[in-house]
Amino acid sequence: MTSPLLAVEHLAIGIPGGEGTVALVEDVSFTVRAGEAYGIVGESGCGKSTTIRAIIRLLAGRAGITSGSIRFDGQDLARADEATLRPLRGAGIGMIFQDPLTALNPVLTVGRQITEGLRYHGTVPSRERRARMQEVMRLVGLPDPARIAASYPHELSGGQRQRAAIAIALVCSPRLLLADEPTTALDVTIQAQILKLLSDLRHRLGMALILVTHDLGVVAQTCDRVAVMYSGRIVEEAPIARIFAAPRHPYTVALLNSIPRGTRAHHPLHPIAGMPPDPAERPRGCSFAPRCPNMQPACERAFPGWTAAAGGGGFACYHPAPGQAEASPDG
Amino acid sequence: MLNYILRRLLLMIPVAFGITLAVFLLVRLIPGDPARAILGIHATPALMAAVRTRLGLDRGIGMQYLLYIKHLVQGDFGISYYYGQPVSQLVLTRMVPTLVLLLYSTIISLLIAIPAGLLAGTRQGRGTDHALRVVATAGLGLPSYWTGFILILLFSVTFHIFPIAGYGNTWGARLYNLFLPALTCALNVAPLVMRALRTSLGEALGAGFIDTARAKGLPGNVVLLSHALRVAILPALNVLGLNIGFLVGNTVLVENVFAVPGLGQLMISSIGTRDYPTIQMVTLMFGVIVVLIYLVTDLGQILLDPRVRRSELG
Repeated sequence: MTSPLLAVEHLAIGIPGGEGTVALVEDVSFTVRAGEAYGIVGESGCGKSTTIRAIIRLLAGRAGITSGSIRFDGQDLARADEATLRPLRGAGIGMIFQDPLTALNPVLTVGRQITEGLRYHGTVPSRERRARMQEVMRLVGLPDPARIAASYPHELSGGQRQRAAIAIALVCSPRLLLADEPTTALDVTIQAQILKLLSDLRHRLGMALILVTHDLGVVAQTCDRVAVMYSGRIVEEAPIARIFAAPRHPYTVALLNSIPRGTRAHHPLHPIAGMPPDPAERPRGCSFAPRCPNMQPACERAFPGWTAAAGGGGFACYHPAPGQAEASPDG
Repeated sequence: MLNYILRRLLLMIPVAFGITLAVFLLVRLIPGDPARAILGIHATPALMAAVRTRLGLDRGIGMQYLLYIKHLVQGDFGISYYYGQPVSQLVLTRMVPTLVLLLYSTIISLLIAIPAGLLAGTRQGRGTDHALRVVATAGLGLPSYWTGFILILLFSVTFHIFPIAGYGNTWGARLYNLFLPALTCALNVAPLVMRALRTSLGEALGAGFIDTARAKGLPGNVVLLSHALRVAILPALNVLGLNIGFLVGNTVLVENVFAVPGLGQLMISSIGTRDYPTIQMVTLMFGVIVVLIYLVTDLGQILLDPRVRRSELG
């Protein structure tokens, strides 16, 4: 096996405060191979967006990487300076954001915003930029590129805006696309279109994708492997089939139980009781312990170590749900 | 676009009429009598009555106004009591220094406010921001006739860099002579524009499109200038436009401090001589200038902000 495109190792992110640093993300490690689609799921505030923003070094406010490394193509982005990061942003790693309404500059034409990246990366000569722009616009399914390129963001629909944002991210052909809840702000029908588009693009362009979402259903449609984050840590990682067939961490189990399953009777919704802990006041042991049905005294003493699971991935839990061999088939 | 401008210009007509009525009445509330002012020490009751009849001041005030409006719509603004020449000629020659002063102080305001606003907006909550806030508040609080004198004292009397007063015959000399008056005006406007820019820049820098711009790999100064400033400048220019309106009033004071032969100076001297037709036309011109500045400000917004363009022009 070749070395991975992206290797995040023991990444920790914190906000310096009056009483020491508040840890937003702790000890996060994962790898993404070239062309692979990797999902990160979790509730709001679990650190999933913070983690992928750290990869391209666009952390908000005073948050910063406190330890760990982010190796992309052999370079450690966690310690890179702006001059090293700039050529990578857009050209090596592209990113799309949650809200297509605010992600586009309201006073610049869509075309200008798409070609801008080409201009500063200097990979495409100026007379070919328009052609490249139209090519990428057709790629993301924007009809009538010439007209839309001359439009302003407020003249487009929500779905068109997200397609334009994807075009901006793809115009310099990055090898890794970071998608931070790209469908959350969209209608359900548009959501499905955008997800299908991202999957198609990944296959056609051979690009790797990291998709952050709170929706396991979205991950199921799009990703090869998935990490489940809770309170700043990865609590379970698995190939996509296994996470649905045999989830091991009680939090993953609870997340799956809280997915609405349409008309199936005898499957009432089980919301997870309680709230994730405040990052400033995390329990000493497993941070899911206060909400966990399998909780034992040991869980509150120290954070559980990583256990590798059969078939890839692993989990961080003292008392996991039974594995595939032991699990009773789901009726 | 042309339609919009025409509509706005048509809307100026009722505004102009309002101004004429207000000024016409206010001017006649000034204590003193033009006839006495014209005759000076030669005034006798008989002579004064004759002068009043000649000027039409012996008629009822309603009649006087109707006659004034009748002449006005024919383009006749009257003859100055004091200078004895058509008021329109007088006002047109005096308008140039005032317009130059306005434009000049607008440019200086922007030259001060944009860098200061960028500095304060990108360093919010830090030392530079606090220091600029103090300077801005001070600049805002000082009346222009006072700052005018202080600048004269500093740059003219002590250091002999700029002249104490005057206008000049060539454009070069005028720009040189008008620098201090323009700076005086700008010192009152720049703080407001700077504060507006600081606020809007803070908002723009926190917006999602800044993340997008940075994620594209754009250099920091491009993100700041062609994305953040490009959006943040819009509300700041609106504040500038509104305050140039106020600046028009300020030029009256500043022109008198620096002896600039503009409309403001003409206005003050005409009030002294109770030169009703001149006061009326100067005030009307000030009103028209203010309304035109607001029109230009709105046109600027339409040109620079595609969102406004659509809602205003349909």
